[in-house]
Amino acid sequence: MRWGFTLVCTLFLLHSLTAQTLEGYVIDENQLPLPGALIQLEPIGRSLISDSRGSFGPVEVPESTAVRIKVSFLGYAPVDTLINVSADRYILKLGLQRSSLELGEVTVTGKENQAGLGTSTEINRQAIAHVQPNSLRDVLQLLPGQLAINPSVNSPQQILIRQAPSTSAGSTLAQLGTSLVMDGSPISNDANLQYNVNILNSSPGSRPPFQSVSGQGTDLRQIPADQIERVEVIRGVASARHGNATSGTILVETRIGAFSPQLRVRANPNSFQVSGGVGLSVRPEKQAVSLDLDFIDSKPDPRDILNGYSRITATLGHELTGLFGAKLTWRSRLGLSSNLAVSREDEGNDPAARAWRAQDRAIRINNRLTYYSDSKWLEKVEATISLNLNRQDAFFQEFITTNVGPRPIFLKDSTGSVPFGTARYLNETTVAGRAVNYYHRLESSANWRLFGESHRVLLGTEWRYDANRGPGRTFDLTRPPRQNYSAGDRPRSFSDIPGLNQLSWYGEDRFSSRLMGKPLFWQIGVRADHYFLSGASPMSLGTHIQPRLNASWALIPQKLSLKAGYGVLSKVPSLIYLSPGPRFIDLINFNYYAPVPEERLLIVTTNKIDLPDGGVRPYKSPKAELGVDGKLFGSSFSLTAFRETVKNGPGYVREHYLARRAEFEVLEYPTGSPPILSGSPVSYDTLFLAYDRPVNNQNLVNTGLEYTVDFPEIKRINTQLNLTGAYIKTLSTSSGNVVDPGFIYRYTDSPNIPIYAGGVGVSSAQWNTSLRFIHRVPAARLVISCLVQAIWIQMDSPVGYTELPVGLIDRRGIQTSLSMDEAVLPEYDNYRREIAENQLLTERMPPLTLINLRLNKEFGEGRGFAFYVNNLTNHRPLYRSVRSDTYSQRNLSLFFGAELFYQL
Amino acid sequence: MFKSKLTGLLGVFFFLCLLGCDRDDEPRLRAFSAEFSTLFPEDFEVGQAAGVTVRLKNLASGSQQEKVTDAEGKVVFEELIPGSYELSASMTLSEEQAMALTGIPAGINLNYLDNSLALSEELASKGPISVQLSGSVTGGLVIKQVYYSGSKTPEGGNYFFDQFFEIYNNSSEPIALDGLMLSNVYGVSGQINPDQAPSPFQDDKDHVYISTAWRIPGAGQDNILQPFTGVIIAQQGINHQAEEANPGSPVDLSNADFELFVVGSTRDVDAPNVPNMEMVYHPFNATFSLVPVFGPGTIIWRTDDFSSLEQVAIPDTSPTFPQVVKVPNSLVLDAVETLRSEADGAYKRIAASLDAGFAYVSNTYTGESVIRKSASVDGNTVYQDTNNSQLDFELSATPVLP
Repeated sequence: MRWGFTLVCTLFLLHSLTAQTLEGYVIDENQLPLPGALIQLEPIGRSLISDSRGSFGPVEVPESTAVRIKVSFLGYAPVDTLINVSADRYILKLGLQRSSLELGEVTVTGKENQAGLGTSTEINRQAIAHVQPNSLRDVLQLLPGQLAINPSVNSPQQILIRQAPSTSAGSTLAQLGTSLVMDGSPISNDANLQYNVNILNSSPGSRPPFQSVSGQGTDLRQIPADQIERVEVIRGVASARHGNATSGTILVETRIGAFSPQLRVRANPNSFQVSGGVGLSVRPEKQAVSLDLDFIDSKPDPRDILNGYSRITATLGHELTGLFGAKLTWRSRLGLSSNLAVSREDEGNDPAARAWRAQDRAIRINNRLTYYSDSKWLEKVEATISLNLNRQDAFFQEFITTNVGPRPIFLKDSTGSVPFGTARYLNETTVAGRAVNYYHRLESSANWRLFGESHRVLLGTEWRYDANRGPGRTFDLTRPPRQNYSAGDRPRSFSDIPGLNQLSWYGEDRFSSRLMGKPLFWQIGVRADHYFLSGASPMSLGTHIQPRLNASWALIPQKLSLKAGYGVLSKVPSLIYLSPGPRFIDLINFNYYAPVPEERLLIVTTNKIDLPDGGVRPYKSPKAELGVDGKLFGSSFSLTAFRETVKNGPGYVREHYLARRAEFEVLEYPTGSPPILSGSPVSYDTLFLAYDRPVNNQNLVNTGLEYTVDFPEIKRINTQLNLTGAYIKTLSTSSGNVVDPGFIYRYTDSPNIPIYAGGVGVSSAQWNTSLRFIHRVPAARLVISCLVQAIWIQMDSPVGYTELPVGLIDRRGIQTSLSMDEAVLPEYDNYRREIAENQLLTERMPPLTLINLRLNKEFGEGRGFAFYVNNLTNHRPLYRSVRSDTYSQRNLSLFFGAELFYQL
Repeated sequence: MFKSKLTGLLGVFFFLCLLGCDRDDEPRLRAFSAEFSTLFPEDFEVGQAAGVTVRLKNLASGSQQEKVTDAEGKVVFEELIPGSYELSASMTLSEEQAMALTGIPAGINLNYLDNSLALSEELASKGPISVQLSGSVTGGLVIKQVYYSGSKTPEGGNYFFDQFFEIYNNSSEPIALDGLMLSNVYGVSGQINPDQAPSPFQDDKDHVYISTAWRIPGAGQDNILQPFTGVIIAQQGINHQAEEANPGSPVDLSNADFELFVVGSTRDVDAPNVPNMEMVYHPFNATFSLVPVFGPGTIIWRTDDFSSLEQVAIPDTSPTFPQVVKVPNSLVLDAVETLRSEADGAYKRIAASLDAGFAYVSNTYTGESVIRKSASVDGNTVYQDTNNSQLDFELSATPVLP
């Protein structure tokens, strides 16, 4: 409160600025005007489109302000320049050149903080091409703090932004909180219900036998990268216009419009990829139609024909510009994609005939309409509408050899006779989801003069809707999958899954003021997300108000700025957490497997546990960061310290279940028919059992320091140096007390089971530096880059384990809590959780280096080849774990790949 | 540029190889002799043990020598070359001999095993190498047969619910079985996966670390085992050869004497005609009572107070992993070690004083069992028990049911 008051005072005390104007025009290498180029002005946050004469402006600019101007146009190398507006009326001439390695300034690394004031990295087309990516995931290794990876589409690809690897639940939470926005509309994974019930002894939240990213973030391997013009990754406090994310937002712009036909063929030991595209302008030159195709086929082991992944994507784009006097641009895209991952064991090798497949087929329609107004009150109105239909089909099978035993089949609470199942049978389970994701956004931006200052005001609203109407998870009840730890398994239809709605409003103001005579830029916004479930039983999940604030103070204009940001981000758990479906507990009341089949009898009680929809809640993540960036001695640099927390994110807990099991008396053992039991139970006993349920129990604390330095080119050797890296410390814990139902098998006569305190997790840290040497030979159209990556710190240690119980649960379900003084008493010795001391040791890996080499060579404009080698020296040291005494091999395997590209 | 660098690297590599070869060029191996001195357990009346059979096996060549110690308890092996050896010694004391040495009128088996002795001329020159025997009382109940390998289904699947144990009364007196414990010893059975380490409790020669405990029910005299007869304890006491089970199984266990039904399991099957053992300790598997198909370590033992035994956490496992129970060797009546193969001796879990060797079958799911060698004494079948499974057990292509 007090802080807010000071802030308001400061704003009003700052004197207003005298305005100057900036205008200009954009031309190509033949001095012809380029209409439709995007001109972005930072830090004032304006964006303009050049008109039919290539001109733009005038735009008001605060006095003596360094303005960063970025101009981009499909197929041309982007221009990024810093100017000092000194005259009252400043006119700029901006020349663009066709993208080519012949150009001296080819950028093959990510660039920091290009747009907005929150920390972000922008990766442009040339940098993407230099990575030679199989998918979007490969591109993201250019972010500060990310480690180099070998391109792979053989498993689902996710990313941890500003987080060191810790627990799997912590990673899942971060991946769930990473949002992917393509061409203005989010790619939602919130309706992905491709799950499985956990098998015996696997931990809660384990992955199904087939590949699935249900409950996590979008599978990044499904997004090809050759059609991407630009990727921006917001890691800091995002603008209020970005929601439904806690760990980062990945903004992707794919190409659309007119461009020359291009073809790319890429191969590495695991995969073969072909991509190509063409964009044609349709006369009169206000329309363009483009088509992009991409195909990849990959195998984890090239000798193994039974396992693999293939992806086909096709995107048809239509761009309509210059409507209403060049004021309206309409871009629409129709995307079709098919992703298929299969795995099968060789029949000769595996009598169990294990196999699985996971297929995702999607249709996506995305429309973006942008209207640039002449009005003084309104600069731009943008509408984005998208619809995504995803047909997800997973299948797995196994010829199961088990024992002759119970195969309960009841679907509701009941007690009855069930036949003994056979020991050998084939299980086939399908999981069929039909995910629907709808999205729209309406946003206006305007430039208003208030209190003598220029304010850029953004107002918008969004609606996200996720639903799934699939047939669900199905199998033959008498031939179930390998069964669960004490819990039963039943099919589930998705027909009763509620719809997940997120209705959002946001507003943001960007303006500048002065502090001690230096410009101070503000980006202040607020966002409200209202989450609710629709369907048969609608319910509200709550509304989250999220303030977002970023400020940048140009201490020495063009040379040194200080930045600070604070904001609250919010995310709703995906449908798999919100609608977990029922759980089943099967109790055997009477188990009588007589030698004579006619005399056998099996009485089973099935308890159905209905887990309510909306049992988990949306969660928030406050973020704060402090940074400095600028350009000193010709080197541009950026240094950001951050602290992000997530409290009560979704996760799974193994919940204890007190089962009252009825016991029957045998009245008679007739020969040739089953025993005759008493009509009603004669006694009950209590069993301690368990099932898994989603809850809000996951916490994350990420703190760290990210840095990037772009050293100036050493002209004599045409080499430039780029340094990025991060120190990240992650604490991932789960809260809430937990019981240990397995205890009862240790002390079968025990009257109680112990409860242990929550807060168990992993604390980990990672520090890396990635040094890239970029050698350019424009005359030879050649770019070579060498990455020297060092991991200085890589460590993790378990936290929060305690030996003493905090309470007990007896067979009637009554809980008693134990104080620390009580828990140490000898009568509770049996309830202690013995912890092997070496399991609590810290794994500290020694420093590790990696050298990767990449090369791009053009023979003519847009024609050439590229090549890379990862881990050139094949440096793969062994690390001996202090906890398990086993060895693991570190670093990437030696890997290489090549590609040919051809442009007409 | 890269080519020259590569050539350079290769050059350095060859140079290093040459250096390496240089070092190996030492004088020829010299054969030597080594003297061994066998000693009785410390609480015996006499120290030097005469008439002990000592075996020395070169682990590299497989060649084996066997000699008997002289009156001084000494024996000399000649023409040895430096290397790793398996040194074992064994002796069976008759009741009379035992009476003289210990004052206990019962046969005693004495054993010694060191399965990786680094023998060199230097070690041998330091004087006789001592071999301290340890032992346990013979007679009474023995584990006669263990069928753990499981069987193949007609489809080629793996079936392991037909496992069983046989306990035999090797004495001429009836023995009450009530309260007898059957336990599985914790630890892997061999190099099944590359990173598998032997049991972390291997070095404790005075205890057995068990992961299960099953007790024969009864008030004390309910289950009497007559002399020279046995009982079958099945994992599941059903006809495993039935169509709904596994027609490929070698056994019909519907006539077993006891079965190991897991209380609270929603998966196990309970045969009404086969009494259940009492489940005393079973934290590792909530559904079945199976033992490793690669070879379990099995003990039969007795205790008056199970809950007083120490439970210990297993090193290298997560904090929530179940614990094992520490059983003193003195409570153990008989122990049988089985391991994955002849080459997996390093994975032995049971101390040499209880079982100096180990048995093994040819492979998993072969339907083979291991069974004690027998002899006929006065028309009764007596099973060999020298506390060395390597010598006492033989492979049986199919399990033998009474």
